[in-house]
Amino acid sequence: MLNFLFRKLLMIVPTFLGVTIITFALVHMIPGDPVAIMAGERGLSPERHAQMMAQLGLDRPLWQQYLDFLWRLMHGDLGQSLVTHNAILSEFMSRFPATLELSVCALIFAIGLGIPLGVIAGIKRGSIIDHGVMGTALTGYSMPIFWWGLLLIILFSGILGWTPVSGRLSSSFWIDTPTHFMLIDTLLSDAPGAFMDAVRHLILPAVCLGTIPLAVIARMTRSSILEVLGEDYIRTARAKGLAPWRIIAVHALRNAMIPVTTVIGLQIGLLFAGAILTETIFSWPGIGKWLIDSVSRRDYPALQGGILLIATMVMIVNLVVDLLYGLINPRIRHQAE
Amino acid sequence: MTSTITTSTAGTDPLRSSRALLDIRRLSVSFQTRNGIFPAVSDIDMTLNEGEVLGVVGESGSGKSVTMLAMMGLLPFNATIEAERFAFADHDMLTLPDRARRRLTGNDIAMIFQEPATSLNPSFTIGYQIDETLKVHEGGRRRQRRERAVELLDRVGIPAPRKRLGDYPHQLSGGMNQRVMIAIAIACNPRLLIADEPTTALDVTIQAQILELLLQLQQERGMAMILITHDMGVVAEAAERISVMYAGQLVETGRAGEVFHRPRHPYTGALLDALPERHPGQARLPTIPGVVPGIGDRPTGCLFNPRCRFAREDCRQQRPELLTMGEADDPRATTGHADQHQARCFHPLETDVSADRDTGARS
Amino acid sequence: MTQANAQTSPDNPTTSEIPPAPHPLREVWNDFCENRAALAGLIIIALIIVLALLAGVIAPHTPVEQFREHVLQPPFWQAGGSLSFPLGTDDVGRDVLSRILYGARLSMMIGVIVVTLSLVIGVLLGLIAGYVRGWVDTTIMRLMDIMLSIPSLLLAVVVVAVLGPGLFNAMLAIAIVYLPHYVRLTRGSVITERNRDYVVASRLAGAGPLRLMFVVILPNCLAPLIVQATLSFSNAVLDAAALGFLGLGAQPPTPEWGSMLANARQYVLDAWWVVTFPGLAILITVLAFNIMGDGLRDALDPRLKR
Repeated sequence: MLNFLFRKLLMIVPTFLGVTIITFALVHMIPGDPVAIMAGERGLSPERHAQMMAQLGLDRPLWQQYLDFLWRLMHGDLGQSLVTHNAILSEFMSRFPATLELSVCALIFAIGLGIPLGVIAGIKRGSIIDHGVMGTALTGYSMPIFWWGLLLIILFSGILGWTPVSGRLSSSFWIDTPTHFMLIDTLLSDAPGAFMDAVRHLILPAVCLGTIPLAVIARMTRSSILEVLGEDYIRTARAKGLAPWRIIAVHALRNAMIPVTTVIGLQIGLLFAGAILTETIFSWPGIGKWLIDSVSRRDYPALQGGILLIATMVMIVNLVVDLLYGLINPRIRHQAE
Repeated sequence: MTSTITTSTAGTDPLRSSRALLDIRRLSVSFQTRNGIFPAVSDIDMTLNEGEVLGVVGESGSGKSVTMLAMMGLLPFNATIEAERFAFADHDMLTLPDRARRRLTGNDIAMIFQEPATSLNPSFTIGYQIDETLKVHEGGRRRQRRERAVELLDRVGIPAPRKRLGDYPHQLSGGMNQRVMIAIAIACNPRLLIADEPTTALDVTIQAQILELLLQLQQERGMAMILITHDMGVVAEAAERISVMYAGQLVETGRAGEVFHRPRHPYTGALLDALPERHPGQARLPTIPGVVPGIGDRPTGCLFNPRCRFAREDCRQQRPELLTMGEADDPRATTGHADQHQARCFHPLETDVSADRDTGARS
Repeated sequence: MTQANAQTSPDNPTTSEIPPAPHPLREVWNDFCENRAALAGLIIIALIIVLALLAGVIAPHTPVEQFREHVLQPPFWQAGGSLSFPLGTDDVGRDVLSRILYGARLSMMIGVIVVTLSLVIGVLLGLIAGYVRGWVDTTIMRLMDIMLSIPSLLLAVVVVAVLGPGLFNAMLAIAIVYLPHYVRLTRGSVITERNRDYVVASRLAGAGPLRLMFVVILPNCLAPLIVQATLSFSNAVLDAAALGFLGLGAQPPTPEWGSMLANARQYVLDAWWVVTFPGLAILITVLAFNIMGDGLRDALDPRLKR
């Protein structure tokens, strides 16, 4: 297992270097230089401009600048925001819990609903339930989630008035945020009703972000269950006289989950992309909104750092999924050993 | 385990008991397919007493496995079962509710399959897969069940059984996996074990070992066994009675010795003739030309007539019934239904092969 | 189960005469038509294309004309609505229906351009990687791996940030983001095909590498590419709308569906129609392409055939 982990880690290194090169290159392809952007409309005298360029190391050859960038990166220094002048890493980390909380809830929603729906559709193949679930899944898969979020707001906030329109917590609550996870922080605080308020804020964005993964997981689970139900070992399980629920829940599901895990792993990268749209709609103060704001404020170092961190995280998640895959599939595990 | 232990103790002579362990009359199975209804098996009679071994022989597609899956209740949902009588240990299998039926399957009737490699679940340890049967049917403490599992693995000839409990099927060989399947099947001391081509997928050297193991277990536990195979040689070693199937029909049935020495149906004759033992030193064995007919090309008349060397005009016109073959020298011929030698042929073979070719039946 | 199959498989009567095999394309078309949902998808797509082409004739108004006295007028069946603005008007008094119809033109154009760009470049790179192998292959595939490790919409956002917002740059960004899928798909098929006997035979017959790549190998890799093209058409429509929604794609007053929604966001609780209809147009278009893509995959995938 350790060997397996080590080899996977080794394969990540070139990809990570590639991402650093690409993000570095992208920012340098932007017309205009950072000093001019910082100076804004006022402009600078040529001497002052040259002086600042030298100060920031921007007058050196590109490869030197890249190595410098890499060196600082290894020390956890992603540079400073052009707008707030804060360290980018701390800007990122202060917003990341919000995105993580949203993504985890969206994924729980997608898995918790997608797997049972896929299983039911698979068992009742060809029935009205199957057609209904699959039709809904295809619609969900085709859904423009930025529109879906707006529809949810119209229905649940506008017509029914059940949920707030935006943010993570109503402004009437003023609580400490030691963990930056609002669900945990509200539980830790003694403000009455704060936790339910946080849940109400979270529920629509999570449903919106979870819709496409839900559809993908339901479709994959169904086809995987159908394939597994035709296997010989299911016949053996029936020959043992096991109850139908046990055959599905134990023998079929365990094997059907192997391809589904891979699909769930792929969804995690897409969740970060979906978070951009969802956070914009619901004014959710996370990474996605921060990145879009950075684009409109032309805060390129922030954009560069954000992309780099997200790409790294996606790579780590893929690694974890690979490991999980080995855990649930004994054949892979033994190959690796 | 169940309340019907009476059958084995009631009759003074279990072989002659009118209440057989398994009693099937005119069983038919048909499948609803996209191209219409396809009769897979029609009018099968089968009787089996406690502790008896029945060999069921036939080519692939003859309906052997469908019959057995019907017995286990394992047919797919598009199958329809009809029968005049379909009883196992006095349970009417046609009307038995699913829940009660599941109490029988895996417990009183167990089955092992052709492909040991795919018949075990790849995601669970063999220990878990044995334990599951014990847990569902017998309950008991976990530690006791674990000991039972070790005993079972030991009994089926798996070395270091305690260590093997945590192994996954892909870590064992095909022969070992089949032994595990046997251990699962005999875990609850079944009264009937159905072995569906248990050795076909295995190496030749392993085949004999597995067959030997099955017969030992059968003797030792006094369970009835149905051995399905397309290999006449295998039944010859093992079975007391033989049923030969062709295209979903029973074409010949009788005591093993009689069927072997005096086959009456030309198909049985041809199958026996294809045994290598009967042609020592010959490079080419006789074969039966053609294949078992499918749904679209079932001939009129006797189903075997297109491939039969002896087919005459009436064979092409009418479908023969299963007829009792008169055997003057055998007093059983007129007494018990199960032991009668029957064949579905207008012109049964007359030759007695036992005189010159005795090598077939080695039992 | 297996036994049941064994029993039913001989029901293709071997004795009856075999009808002459239909043309392969004809066969794919027949399989496709058997899937009623896929056919419905195709019909909807045809309808959208017709509407897009005839937008100038059908649309009651031009997409940019502002009727200042009819600002945020509801659709005709609600109180205050009128048939001259069937689906209502937006915040500056433009007709929603007309904007949606002209938007269909843009979306179809976006789909065609993005798919063509990424297909041509992706297939080219894939062919080279799969045919030449060696360090060229490694370099191309590593680059694609790196691109895949950044979530696609995020990568598109970055590319647009570099190139500057606008419809054309958005299309370019999306086309770049879709490249890895085509490259991987083509390379995979080329590697399996290049050692087949027919390829070896053409090589022995003296075919040059270009001929081998484009004339001999490529046609045999087309099926999965066609399916991928259909599915990425719908994704292109979706992603272009997403970029428009984020303000990075088509700029106002272009009647692009995504940017219409971006503009309508602030009226989400007051004027449901400005939000609902453009999104519905996106959903229907994307859904139609996805259904058709699913049907095409089933019809083209030989593994799923009888």
